[in-house]
Amino acid sequence: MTTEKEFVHNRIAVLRAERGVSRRELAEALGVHYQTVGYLERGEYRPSLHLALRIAAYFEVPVEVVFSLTPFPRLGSTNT
Amino acid sequence: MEPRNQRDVKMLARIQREVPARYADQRGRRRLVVTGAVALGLLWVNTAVSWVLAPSTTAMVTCFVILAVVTLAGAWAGSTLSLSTRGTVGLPAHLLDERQAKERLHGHATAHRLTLLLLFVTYFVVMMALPDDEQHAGIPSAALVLLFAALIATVAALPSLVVAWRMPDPPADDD
Repeated sequence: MTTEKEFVHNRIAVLRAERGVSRRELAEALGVHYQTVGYLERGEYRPSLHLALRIAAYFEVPVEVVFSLTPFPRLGSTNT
Repeated sequence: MEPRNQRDVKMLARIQREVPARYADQRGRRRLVVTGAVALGLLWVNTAVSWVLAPSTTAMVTCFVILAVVTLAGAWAGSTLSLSTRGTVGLPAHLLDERQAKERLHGHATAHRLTLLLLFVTYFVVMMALPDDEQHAGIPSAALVLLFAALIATVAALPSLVVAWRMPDPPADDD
């Protein structure tokens, strides 16, 4: 069970949309089932460190750009 | 989750077929789980009927009718469950990703606890059902065979039922 305290926020959907990558394409690149990408995006599955690093490497960003323990600020928000 | 040979490719292709719409979401999957559980329950009823009535024609007819129903319903529910869980329980480990492997572990752990409980309950029920008089402690052999069949089927099916029950709704396809 993932409690709110253990929740890991992520920006996979945003990064994916920005790069124009479909779930299936991302899943194929990562070697996971495409539904796993969906569960990751919805926060219903927390990836292993290995998978988290591979996701970050795929988008060529540091891992903390993709995952965070606190909610990411909304785009356009002044709180950066 | 890389297929190693042609057999793996075929297995993956079979498991990625489209799931019938009514069983694609959590509610539909849980209906399937209930169907599977009822089929298993019938096997236990069959054992009880055989224990009480065997050897007799009634016991034999009941046994074959229930076995036919369970075989058909069980095969259908089993294959549909396997499809709707994307082979999380049935596929070889190297064809699963880390989420599916974790789901499978959870399913097996819960199924193991349920199996242990089932074995204890069966043990006590059989102990209580045996007559005190050791000279006449005969159990119909058909009942013994059906009891083991029910146990084997339940132990084999429990991980699939647990995994299917637990799985959340799949994310909507965005492609």
